[in-house]
Amino acid sequence: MTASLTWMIILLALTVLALVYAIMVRPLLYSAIGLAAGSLFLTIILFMLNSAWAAVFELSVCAGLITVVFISAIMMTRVVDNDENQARNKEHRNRFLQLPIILAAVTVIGGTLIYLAGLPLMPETSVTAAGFKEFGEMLWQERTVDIIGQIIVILAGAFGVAVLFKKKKERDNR
Amino acid sequence: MSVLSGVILLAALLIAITAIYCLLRSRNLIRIIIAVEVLMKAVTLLLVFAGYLANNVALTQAFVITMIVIEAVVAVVAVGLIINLQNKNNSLDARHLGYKQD
Repeated sequence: MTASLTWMIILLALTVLALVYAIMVRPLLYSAIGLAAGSLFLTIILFMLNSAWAAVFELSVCAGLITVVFISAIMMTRVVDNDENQARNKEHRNRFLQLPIILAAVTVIGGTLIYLAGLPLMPETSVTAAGFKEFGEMLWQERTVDIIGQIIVILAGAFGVAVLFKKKKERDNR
Repeated sequence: MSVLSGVILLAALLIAITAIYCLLRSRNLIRIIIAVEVLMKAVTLLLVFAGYLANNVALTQAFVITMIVIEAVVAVVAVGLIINLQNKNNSLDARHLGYKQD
């Protein structure tokens, strides 16, 4: 097995573990940290797959900005008392009990199929440096309709947040 | 198909199953948004790997960057709505949406 394939498998396993942890752990703060860790491992995978720009965005936006947004939201939400917390812990454990079993079954079946298929280790691609040279051209010159859509979405998001906070301010004043 | 392709597909499938399970089972609104984010990670991984296989990483990176921007906007707006709902209902439970809590 080549070194890059070994590293890729380790990083993929860490990504899956971090994201499963983010979903399964009960405190939401740990969930947000698990999500950030998953984004961090995914960033390294994107670098290994020659997508440096996507990796930088993944690291700065997903592991940075979105984590900060989630942690801020968690700080603003209600703190439950001890009895309610214990009841919710039990409910949460029961709700997510089947997930590790499903994931283990899928991993065993998938892993066995990959092992038995006798596949070559790496895909047959002729990756060149051209992808990096063309990226700026692709981002700014080839896209038209999706840039308009993206601008509309960003504006909608900005206006949405502005309206939410405006309403809150009006209610506080009343 | 290769071992690397198989392992990446398996990892993306595991991540997607985890997120969809959480979307179906969880009642906590913040956890539901986290599940949407996790599902986006699986899509990002598959998109970038598709570009790697087709030797067209530039195009897929442009799409991934668009997706990340929209993901951030969705997260910010959703969190704003959730905080508003929490202030109104005093609950993060999706079952309490639309009902005033005493």
